[in-house]
Amino acid sequence: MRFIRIVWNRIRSLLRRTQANADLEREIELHLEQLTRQYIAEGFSEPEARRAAQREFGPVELTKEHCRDTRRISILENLSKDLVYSLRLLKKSPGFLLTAVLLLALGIGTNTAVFSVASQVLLRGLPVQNSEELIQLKFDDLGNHVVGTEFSYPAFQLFSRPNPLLAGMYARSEEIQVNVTFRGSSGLARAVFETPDAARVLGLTPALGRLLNPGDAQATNERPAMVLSYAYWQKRFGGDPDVIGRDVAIDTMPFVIAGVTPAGFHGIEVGVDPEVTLPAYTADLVRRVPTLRNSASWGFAVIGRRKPGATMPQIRASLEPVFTTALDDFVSAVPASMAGTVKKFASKLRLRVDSAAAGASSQARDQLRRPLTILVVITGLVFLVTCTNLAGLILAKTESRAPEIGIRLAIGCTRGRLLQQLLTESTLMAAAGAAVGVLAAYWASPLLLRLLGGRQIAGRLTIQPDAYTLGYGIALAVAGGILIGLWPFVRAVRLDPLFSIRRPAAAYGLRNSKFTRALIVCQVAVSIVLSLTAGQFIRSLQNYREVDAGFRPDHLVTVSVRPDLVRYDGPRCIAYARQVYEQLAAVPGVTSVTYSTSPLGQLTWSTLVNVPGYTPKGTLNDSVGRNIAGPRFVETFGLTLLAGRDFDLRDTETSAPVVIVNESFARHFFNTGDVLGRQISFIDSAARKDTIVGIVRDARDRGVKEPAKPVIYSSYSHDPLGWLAFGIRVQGDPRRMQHEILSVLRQADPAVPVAEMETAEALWSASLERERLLAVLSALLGLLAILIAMIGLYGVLAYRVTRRTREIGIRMALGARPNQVRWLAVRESVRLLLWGVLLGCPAYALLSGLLRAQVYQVAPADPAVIGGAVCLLAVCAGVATYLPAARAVRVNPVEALKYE
Amino acid sequence: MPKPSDLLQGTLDLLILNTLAKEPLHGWGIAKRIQLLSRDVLSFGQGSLYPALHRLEQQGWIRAEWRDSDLGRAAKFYSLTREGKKQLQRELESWNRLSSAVQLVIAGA
Repeated sequence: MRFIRIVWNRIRSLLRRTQANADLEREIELHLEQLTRQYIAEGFSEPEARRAAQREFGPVELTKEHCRDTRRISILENLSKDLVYSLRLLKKSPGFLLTAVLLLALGIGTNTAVFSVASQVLLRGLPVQNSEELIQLKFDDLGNHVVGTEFSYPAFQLFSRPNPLLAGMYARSEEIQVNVTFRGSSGLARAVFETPDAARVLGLTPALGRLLNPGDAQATNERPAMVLSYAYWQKRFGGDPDVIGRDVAIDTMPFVIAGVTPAGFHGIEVGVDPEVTLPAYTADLVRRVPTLRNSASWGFAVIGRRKPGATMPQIRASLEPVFTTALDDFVSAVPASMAGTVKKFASKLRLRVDSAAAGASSQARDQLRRPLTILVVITGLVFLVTCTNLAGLILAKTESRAPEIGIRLAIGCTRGRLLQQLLTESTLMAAAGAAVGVLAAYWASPLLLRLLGGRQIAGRLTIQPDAYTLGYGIALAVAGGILIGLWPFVRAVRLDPLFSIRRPAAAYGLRNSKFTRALIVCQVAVSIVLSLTAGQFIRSLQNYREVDAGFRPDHLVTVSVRPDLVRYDGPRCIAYARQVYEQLAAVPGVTSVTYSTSPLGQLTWSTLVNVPGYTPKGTLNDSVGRNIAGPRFVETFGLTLLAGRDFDLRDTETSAPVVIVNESFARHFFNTGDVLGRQISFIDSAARKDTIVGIVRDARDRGVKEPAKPVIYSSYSHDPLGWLAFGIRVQGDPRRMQHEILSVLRQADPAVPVAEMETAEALWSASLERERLLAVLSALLGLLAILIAMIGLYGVLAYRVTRRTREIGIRMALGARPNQVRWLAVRESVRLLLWGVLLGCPAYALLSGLLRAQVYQVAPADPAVIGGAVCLLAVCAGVATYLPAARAVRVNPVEALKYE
Repeated sequence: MPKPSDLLQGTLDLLILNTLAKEPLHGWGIAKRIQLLSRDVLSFGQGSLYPALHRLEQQGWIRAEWRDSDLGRAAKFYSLTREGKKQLQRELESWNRLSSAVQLVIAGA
């Protein structure tokens, strides 16, 4: 009750300030009047009486001030005063203000941008009830690194039998591309197959219609149901609620739209955000590859929800026998010739049960974790440098305010008030910086994500300006404000008011202080760390650029098409590929054409092969890259043929099956380069014997970052698959040919979706985008840190020379030589730099552990990197030192002795 | 929440509250009454009465209103609130405890 009254009183007096002040005046006036009257009655003259009354009353104005104080919400009132005062001060030095705000904006902006990406990719929790109960099944080889997160569908069916420890379990397929046709218009979309328990396990409620439910477990008389993601519903259907219940064709198979997922839900795996969810039982029908009954086809992630109280080891123990059964089924499902290899491999596998509280195991997350951590560290360091430097600048500015601060302290300003005022000023700057920085970060973070993650990841992740990002920006601003404002305060409260009013500089004497020098040492240390880091990334990028691709990506266009999405079967695919091949070859300017399931440099497929006479090592070592290629593959992509021949038009469905292998393949399986005429067979067509007709030099089939491994190329005529990419070598600029290429494709069959068209060079260099970004960003931030540190160094040295002008004058008068005078400045500079380097080296050693996996063939102590960083620092430090040193030499002894 | 107050401020608060317990009074009257009753022993800068009055008012222990007075014009009269009466009791008790403790110490010494 009383508390409410107090608050009410405060608010009332705040609102009725004029009235309350007038009341106070009247009240005190009345008292003084009475006192005066009393003294007059005692026989004083009127002026005497008034003086006596005032003496007895005490200091009138101070009393009023104290009275006003009692009803003040003083922090607020002081704050508004401080704000006005700070603004006035800052307005007086707009250059300083601009520099400070820009530096802070840069620091806060980069940090916030990196944070917003990191929080989305690494920290984002699931918008799912009790997500800590979610688990994911995985397996690894004898407790080593995680080998896999995907199981066969029969294995999932074994796992999902009733289990007292689990509340439910569901399986989700890998993401595939499908062709969605609605009211005559088609477009590609990302799709997954899911078992109907998903919605129940995750506890999702649809935004519209319904999600998959147990009724979608198997085929019925009705058309199968499908669910749209909220974003896809908005993008493709304009958020039209009327689409529920409408017919849609996936590829050519009829489905009906059942519902829309909730708006904030982007799948449970970072970087996989399916636009369309289809019931698992339709997987075979849509993909037209029998996987659901195939124990050897492992392509389903298994997610479950544990019951409260059930622990991971308990769940693992309960599922372990099931896993063993699944492995046995796996072994018996592969052809007899492969069984030995597979069995050996399977015997080493062990089931794992991991928490999926923060989402399922994600490739995007694994790939980006390290680069993002590095960026968080780097940008954090730059922010630190920025703040320490600004602290130094403000310290110097506070020095010129020493008389003012002295006066304020002398007339009774409390330390608290002084601190509040100084912090208001620095926080105001930091807030302005944060406002600019956070705005910039909203713009920059999607760009950052695109460059870091490439199109693959960026297209599936949405970076939304969220409360976390904003909060982080604000937290940085407050931290910066305190970091910047606290030091001047610490110095200021030690001021002797009298001294500081008379001789401000001497009273402060602070640019010379140990503290300021320590700041410089820190800045030098951080810039050393950052420039070494940048050097590592630059070297790494250079090394990648010098990688021999093994083929020629120049003058080459690749265009991916998906005839499988319009129900092409094998023979039709062959005919289509052959037709497009011939028509493209006839286009003027085209020198050579081929096709393959993966363009060179984009290979992702691995398989196992059976080689007579080769004893399987039983590990993943035996898996080989597999590409399926058409005529003139070696010629068009510019591979080097070491022996034998390229694929050509003689390789048809009816000719004997042939393959081309690379050197690594030959060495791994035959221990010799001379393998022409030898025979192998693939795991999926064990009865067929393929003859090796060509050997090519190793190339980077999987892209610039993957070292060459055994790869085998088989003939498309024998293994026609429904997705393929044409490779077209042209004269002149490959981008000019895109129009002609598209028109050929349209002529062949306008219904076949074109998934992607790109020059091979663009694809090749796109895979280095992350490296380029890390190199450029770390170089820029490193340069910035050096610049800031050198400005600080220059300030300290210049001030030192100024302070010692008199001493220098005396020295020169006594016959000191210019070099000895210069040495005064140089010695200080060298000392600060050495300390900085000494401090920076161990810090870099700590960081280099983080860098090692992220750079390509660069030693932590790469001489070029260290040499470069040292040279850069030496040159910058030279400039920062030269100017003050030169000024010291120019000191005129006569003038100097008159100084002060 | 009564704030911890130093002895002098506490004493002044006690004197004011005690004075107002009898009847509502204006600042001048309070000063006179305290001086009179203490036979001029307790003299203080009369001005310091006002911050104390305002603080007590903000604390909700006394309330104030303008009305006509014996001084020939309107004055601000202060009176105890219900919480003020309770606070007076508390302050009296602690004062009594303190003074008797001091008495004991002095007598014992």
